[in-house]
This record gives sequence, C-alpha cells and structure tokens, in this order.
Amino acid sequence: MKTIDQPTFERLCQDLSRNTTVLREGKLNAAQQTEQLMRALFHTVCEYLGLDPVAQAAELRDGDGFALLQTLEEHMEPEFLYSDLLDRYLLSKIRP
Amino acid sequence: MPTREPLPRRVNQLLAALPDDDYQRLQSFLEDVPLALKQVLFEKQAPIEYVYFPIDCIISLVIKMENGETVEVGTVGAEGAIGVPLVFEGSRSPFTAFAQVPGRALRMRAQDLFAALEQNGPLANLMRRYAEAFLGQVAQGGACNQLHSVAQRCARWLLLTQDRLHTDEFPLTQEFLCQMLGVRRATVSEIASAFQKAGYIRYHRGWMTIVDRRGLEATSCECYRVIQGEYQRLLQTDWGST
Repeated sequence: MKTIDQPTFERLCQDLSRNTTVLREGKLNAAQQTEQLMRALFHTVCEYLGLDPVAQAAELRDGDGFALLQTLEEHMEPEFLYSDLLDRYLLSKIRP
Repeated sequence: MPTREPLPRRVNQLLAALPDDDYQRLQSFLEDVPLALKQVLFEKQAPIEYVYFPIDCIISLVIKMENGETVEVGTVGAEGAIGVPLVFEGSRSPFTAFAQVPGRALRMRAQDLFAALEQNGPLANLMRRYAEAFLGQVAQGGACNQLHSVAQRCARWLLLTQDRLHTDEFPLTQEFLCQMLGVRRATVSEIASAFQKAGYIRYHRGWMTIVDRRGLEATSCECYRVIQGEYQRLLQTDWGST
C-alpha cells in the first residue's frame, strides 16, 4: 500500500493553494469554496496514492470531505496532523 | 420588503423559543447558509462577523496550540448559537469555530445582533441564558478534562454528539476524536477497542455506530448529566433526551 508523509501532503496543499482559482474568484460562498478545495485535494491525494477517487469515496460512504480525511487516516506514514496543514494552507484563507 | 421563504426556525431551539412577533422582526436579518465539513466560521482572535444558529450541523470550538495540536472546548448544535462573545459586546473569539458535521445554519450579522440585543427583549434574555449554559459547558469540560478518565470523557463526547445528531451512526476520524479528547492516537485506539469489546459501539473505517447507549451512559462521568441538565434548566429544552 502506497503511503503519504507530511512533506508530501504539505506540498500538495501548497500547490493547490497556489494554483486554485477558487480562493481568488470570489464567485462561490464559503461552503462551496470549502467543498471544492476538499474535493480537489481528495482527487490529488488519490492520484498520488494510485487510488480511484470515485471508488474510494463510494467505499467510504460519504462526500469528498470525509473521504479525504479518512483516506489520509488510512495512508499516512508516519502519522502527522493533517487538519492543521489543511487549515493553514487552504481553509483559513476562505472568507465567511 | 421582499417576500421571503419562511426560514427553518423551529429546528434551532433558541430561535424556536422566541415569541412569534420577535421572530418575525428578526427574520429579515437571518440568512440560511450551507456549512461544509471543516468549514471555518471564524479563527481564534479573528473578528466575529456573524452569529450562527445551527439547524442540522454541528460546530466545534477548538483551541489551537502553536505546534498545530488542537483541543476542543465546546460543541454546538441546534440547541444553541455560535458567537457567544457578541452577547458580551465582544468582537473577537477566543476559539476557532469550524463545521464538524456539515449542514445548514441561520446566520445574522454581528451589528444586527447588537442592535437586537440593545432592545433588551426576549432575544437578549434568551441569548444571555444560552451564554450562561454555554459557559457552564466549557467550565464543566475543563474540570472534566482534569479529573476524569479518557474513557469517561470519550463516552460523554459520544453521548453529546448523538444527542445533537439524532442518529446512531456518524462519520468520525481518529484525528478528530484525538482533538476532541486532547489525547494521542494510541489512546483513542485503545478506548475505541475497549468500547467495541464491551458492545457499546462499532467503529470501522471512520464510521462510528452507537450500539448501547445505556452502556455509554454508565461509563460516562457525571459531566454528561450536568451539562445536559444545565441546558434544560436554562433553556427549558429537551435536546439531550434522545
């Protein structure tokens, strides 16, 4: 099973933060921005881990947000505080 | 004033407790908004721009440490509101607030809440009583964290969460439970394993199922009863009596 470590996850968050238009366009409300960022990151993490995001989300029986968190739970090695990185690089930049 | 769809007032117990006339006056200031999983409502020490009245979501209030570790200090669902410092004319939050369970909430701009509180009517009275109950929850939680075992606290947290969600099954990551209890993963794994062995819960791939509520009640410390009782006394609600 392929794993993901903190530096890699941090890089994926930074890349998304730099490249996404979600945070700059101002067209979406805060919930939509949060969902889009979580979905984009879930797909990126799945791609890195060699997982099919559609199958993975279906297996985990919930939306992309929870699927992202649970996928990290199951594949991170060694353990790290992924929520802190999510907040720092992505979620804290969304306006209410 | 434009005609608006009636807002789902009845499912937030603070708004439901307002007299009809007061609610009608308030309605034009309320906005029905979706809240996504992990959505940040406000960061610690950031200005509070809105007060939120949850409908079917759960909001966690947490303190973040410099090293990234996070501990929950309170949970709010349809029994309450997010933005208690505004009741005391504060403008910044000592906590970070984010959606632990996604859903919807009614929100109101801080300045509109201030204006409504100045009238010193039923809303002001209700918000003050809620603030008292909320502070009681935070204080009880602080004492509980010092004095009670992780198993007791975990049982309390699961019961309070089930009360607010009105469902036996909900998604819950290990990291989140670590934050809620302020412990490390190994400890959470041990507790979850012990609760499963006792038949209180099932926990698989992030899905928590409450199987034996009475077992959890017997395991929980007095704090569950105290917090539940305080809300009922101050707000005359029965949100904890599932």
